[in-house]
Amino acid sequence: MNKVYFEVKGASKSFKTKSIFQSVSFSLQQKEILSLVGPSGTGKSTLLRSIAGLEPLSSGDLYINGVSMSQKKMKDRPIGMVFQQPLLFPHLTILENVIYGLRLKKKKREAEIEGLRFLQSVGLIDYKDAYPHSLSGGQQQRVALIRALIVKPKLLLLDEPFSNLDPDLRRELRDWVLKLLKQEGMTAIFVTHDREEAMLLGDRVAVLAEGSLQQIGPPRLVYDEPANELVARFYSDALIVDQNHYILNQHLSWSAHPNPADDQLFFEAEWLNDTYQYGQRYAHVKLLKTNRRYVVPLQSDEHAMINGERGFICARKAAIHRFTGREETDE
Amino acid sequence: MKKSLFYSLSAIFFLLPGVLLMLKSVTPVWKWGEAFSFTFTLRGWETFLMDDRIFHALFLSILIALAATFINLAIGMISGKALSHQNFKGKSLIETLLLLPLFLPVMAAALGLHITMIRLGLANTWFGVVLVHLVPTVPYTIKVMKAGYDRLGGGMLEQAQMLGAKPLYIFRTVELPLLMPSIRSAVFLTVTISMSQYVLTAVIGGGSVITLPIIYYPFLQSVDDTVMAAFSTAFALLPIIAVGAVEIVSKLIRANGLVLNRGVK
Repeated sequence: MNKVYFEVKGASKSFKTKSIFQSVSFSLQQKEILSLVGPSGTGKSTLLRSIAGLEPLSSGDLYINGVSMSQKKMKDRPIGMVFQQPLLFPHLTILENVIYGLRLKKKKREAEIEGLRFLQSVGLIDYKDAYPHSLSGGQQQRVALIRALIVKPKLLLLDEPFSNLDPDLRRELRDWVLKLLKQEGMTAIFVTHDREEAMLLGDRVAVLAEGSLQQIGPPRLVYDEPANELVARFYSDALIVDQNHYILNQHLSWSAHPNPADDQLFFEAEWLNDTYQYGQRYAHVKLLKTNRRYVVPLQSDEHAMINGERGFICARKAAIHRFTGREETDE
Repeated sequence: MKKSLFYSLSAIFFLLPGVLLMLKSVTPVWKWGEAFSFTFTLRGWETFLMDDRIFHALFLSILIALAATFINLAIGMISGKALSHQNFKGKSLIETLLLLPLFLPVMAAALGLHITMIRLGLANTWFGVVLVHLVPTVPYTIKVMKAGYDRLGGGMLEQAQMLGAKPLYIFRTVELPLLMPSIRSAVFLTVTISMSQYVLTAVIGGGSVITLPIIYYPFLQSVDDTVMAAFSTAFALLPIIAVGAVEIVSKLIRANGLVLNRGVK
């Protein structure tokens, strides 16, 4: 097992009487990227802001290389952060923006040389004397990332940095960000509400829901073996049978009529629509018992039904699994 | 189209009256029914300069206006930032309370303050006048600076903090340059209001603090509009001088390591 580099121990935060999250604990190894996912409004951003020092923790502590951070002021924490908005200083050129943090530590000349080298390496050198408003949203976010990376923080926090970009740009930018983070050997926490993004960027994924950390582990494992209903609903694709059991989507099929057999299970559902994605056809159906929507893989020759028509979600009994219930899932 | 409309409107409403005022100050009084004449006269300016207290009054007016402006900016920026970026109980109540001086008749405030000023030994001093000039100006400055901080947003300052900058450095490199438009508005308002004060200056200054309005107002009773125009021209120049002084100070405070205040005006 590798050494723990960054650690959060029993972190809780509440505003007055309202608890945002409680006893959140996890640790990161050096150069590891953790994706923090969860539905909106579950305190992901607040957790990140608390780690950064923008908000104090109500209780608990943070450690980088064993050094406690909670007593340190924000400017003394070796932590960088990229926000949803690029937040470039509009009155400074791109180069001046990039070296804003570096100027506090180095002479102007040295900072400029380093800034130019960084801009060169990411292909933004042509914009060094431009002002932020003349750059596109994606380019601005790239500059914001470089500005945070150039001061070489020990931990980089990214708070939904792509949420204000259109889908194409988003895809392009996240590949770029991942490459850059790995190249710089950065330890990072990446907050998103996009499952796909979490899988793409994270070495591990942590699901935060209802104020606590539900599960943390490698993306594939959390997807295949959700710890509980919340994780299954938010991060995995599974039919939730009851509080303790689920069936992964890949084991589900759709049938217009029940096909009686001993090893089969049937759930009555209402047909809503069908869509195609990545070469596969899917039925969008609503389970009658829970009124919850599910997406079930379909054979492409299966005939479409009318919205509201009833059918059955089928699965073999053997496909039922029990929620792992474990917080930490290891490989 | 829009630009030309802007320029022609500003010419009609701002430039033309100014030019006419200056012309008036060097032409004699024109009586109804007389033929138009363009005789040149310096009589208006001579009368203006005849009063030997005039340069002292000009200096004192600028000094008081600038002192009031800097105190205003200090109060306005601190409270504007708090009102804009902080959340606390009774915030809207405090915001309303800070505006209240505007709804109080100036005389009422002045007479009440006069007694306090005498007790503090500030009556009849220029600094007492500076303090009393805060009454009609601070509410505006707070409003203007709050709007400025609203526009700036908290994110930009948090970003600077995340990059490791100290508060004073952030103030010099981010807040001050980005707030310059609001600061300019506040300075113009404060200087103009401060320079227009007659009653407050007369009551608290007790006749021993002679500012330009104190000399200027008695002339209002005369019908000599040549002299009036000379006074008014000199009066109109004062705010411009004061604003220039504030610009220079702000340039000095802003960090000189980086070339700032480009990009945004």
